[in-house]
Amino acid sequence: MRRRSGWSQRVVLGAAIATLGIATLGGCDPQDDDARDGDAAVPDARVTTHPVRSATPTREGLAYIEGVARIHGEADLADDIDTRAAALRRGLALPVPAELAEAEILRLELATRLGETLAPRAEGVAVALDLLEPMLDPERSLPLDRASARALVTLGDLATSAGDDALAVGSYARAIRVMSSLRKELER
Amino acid sequence: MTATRLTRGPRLVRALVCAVLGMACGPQAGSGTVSPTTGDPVGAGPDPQGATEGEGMAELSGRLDALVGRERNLRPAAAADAGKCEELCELATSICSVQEKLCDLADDHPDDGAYQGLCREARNECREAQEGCVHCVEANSNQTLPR
Repeated sequence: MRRRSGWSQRVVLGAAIATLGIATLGGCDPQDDDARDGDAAVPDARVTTHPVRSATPTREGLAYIEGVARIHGEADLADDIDTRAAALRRGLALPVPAELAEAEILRLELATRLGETLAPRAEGVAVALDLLEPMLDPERSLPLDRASARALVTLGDLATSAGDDALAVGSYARAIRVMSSLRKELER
Repeated sequence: MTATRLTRGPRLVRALVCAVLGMACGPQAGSGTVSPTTGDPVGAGPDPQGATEGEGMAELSGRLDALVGRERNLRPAAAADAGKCEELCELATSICSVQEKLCDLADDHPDDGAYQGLCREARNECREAQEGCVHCVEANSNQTLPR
């Protein structure tokens, strides 16, 4: 019994080790490794766009647009990066009125300008990437507008500064695809 | 009589021809030069004088009016096309500038098919966009210029 029990224990232990090993190997998706390793990552050039809808003007919508314009004016007058960045952050914090389709573009423009403002600072690149990357996630549909293309180019520039070639190339390729769609719309 | 008639006949014909030519080619019609006047608008100059010139001026004036009208009709379309061409050409410039950045990075990954493929695609887009710009400008200038 003792002997059998010893074998059983070994078999159980062996099976456990094997299962753990397979589970561990199975969890090691090469793509996961690539995503962590900047150099080996595959550029993600997926882009989905939607047409820009023009909303019926409302008092709240107009106030929001005027607020964003005022913020850009303040940013224009700012003497230093911090003041400009603070103004643009205030713009991004403005509550967006419901049903204002243009707000998507206005927010992209604010974020892009904030990213460009922060880019000259070494620590600013990471902050700007954290801001722009989720807004421009390949899973998200972007408005078919130059603002999307410009934001993607800025993301590409930031990624280049951060040494993330895959993100940079993917963003540039997506920017080109957006601009190409705009071009085809014009040529129709 | 017959001979006389025969000789008088051609004389009469000659006289008639001279009379007609004299009217048509008199100093009032052909020998004087109509000077362009600065004050009058196009097509509102002195009235045509003489039968032949009258027909010519009327025809020219009609043609000019038609051309002016045609040009007026084309102007808004041409202006709209010019704006479209400007946008197309701006997009082409932007596409090609981003393509350069992309392909510079792709050069650092010569063995990576994904990078090389995206660079190729970007080059094609840049070329197509430039061709689109050129075609638009050419078509617009052909439309604007009178033939």
